[in-house]
Amino acid sequence: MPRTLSTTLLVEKNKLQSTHPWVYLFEVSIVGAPGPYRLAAYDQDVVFHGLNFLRAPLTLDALEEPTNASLVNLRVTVQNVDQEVISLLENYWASSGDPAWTCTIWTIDATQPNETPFFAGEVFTVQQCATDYVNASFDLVAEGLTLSMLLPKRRYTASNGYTKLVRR
Amino acid sequence: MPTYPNTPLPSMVSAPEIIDSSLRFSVDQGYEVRRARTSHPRRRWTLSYLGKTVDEMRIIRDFLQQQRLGVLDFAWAHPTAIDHVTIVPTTPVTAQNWRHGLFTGMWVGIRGSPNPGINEQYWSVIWVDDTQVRLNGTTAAGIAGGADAWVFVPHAVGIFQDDTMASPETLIGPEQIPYTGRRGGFYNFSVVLEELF
Repeated sequence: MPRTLSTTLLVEKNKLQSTHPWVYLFEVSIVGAPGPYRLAAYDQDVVFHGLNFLRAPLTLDALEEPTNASLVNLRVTVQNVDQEVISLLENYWASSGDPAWTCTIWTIDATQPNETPFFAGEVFTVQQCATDYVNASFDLVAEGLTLSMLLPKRRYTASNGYTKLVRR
Repeated sequence: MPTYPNTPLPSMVSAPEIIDSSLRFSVDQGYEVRRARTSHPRRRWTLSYLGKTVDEMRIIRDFLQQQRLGVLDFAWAHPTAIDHVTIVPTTPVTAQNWRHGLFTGMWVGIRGSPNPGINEQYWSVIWVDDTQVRLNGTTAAGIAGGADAWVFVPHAVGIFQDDTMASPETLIGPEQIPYTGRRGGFYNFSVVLEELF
């Protein structure tokens, strides 16, 4: 999925060192729930295109992003000390035979959130979740990828001028 | 929100330790990419109490017990480091001539300024430069003039090793409140407080 980055974000991304934290924003859309559940993996609340994302202690399994069309699994662990997640799961997950929870993840620069376009969010499906009184962990799978075929990418077959170099 | 008792006064409050976590990626080519992880650093103070009586020791101990040691957060105002600053009537009010060491979002207490509306209250600051801050939500009044400013932390918790408050070091005497013919004890102990976001 191509990522559109504004000029300022590109400059920020390519810096070797910076005080701007990169923050993940999560919006879980729950079928039947009154509204989406929005969390920011940051120490402050974040207003992103007019939407409020509540700060929450989130642990992400992997910080890297997919650069090819591989199946991307991501485990997000939410500190659930107020047991809010349990109530969401009881009401909208356990009661549904096929709970279709989707999660949109945005990567933003915390000091300039709106530089990330609203439509640049990556959509994941919640595959499963487990919770206890302290933690809730969600297994997310990236959506919108063609998983049944893997096309050889042109850059792997091109010679790039080195005709004798073995290519995959 | 409970407030940490400033009576008894600590014998010494350390200059704060600074906590600031970061993300670091070393790439194969040898260079490193570094990013701050949070919006601003946090501070951690050690409060040393020397030669305190049983009663004084129990005040601090009771407070920490009621916060269940490191569970509940509380507000804390720095009891011993009072900076003199210049208050300028801008909106929001500016505190200047002050090497404050604060970040936007941290808090200070103000008293004795020419602006009566801001005195004896705590304000979150907006960082302007290394020697100036603005007090969030204040309005200009009066003239420019001096004031006292001190660090305030709206959310702090106690930090205890292994969730244990170590027994205070006994200088002399039993742990009893002095009464006619009964002598009391004296103790040394220290408490570590850490700022929360």
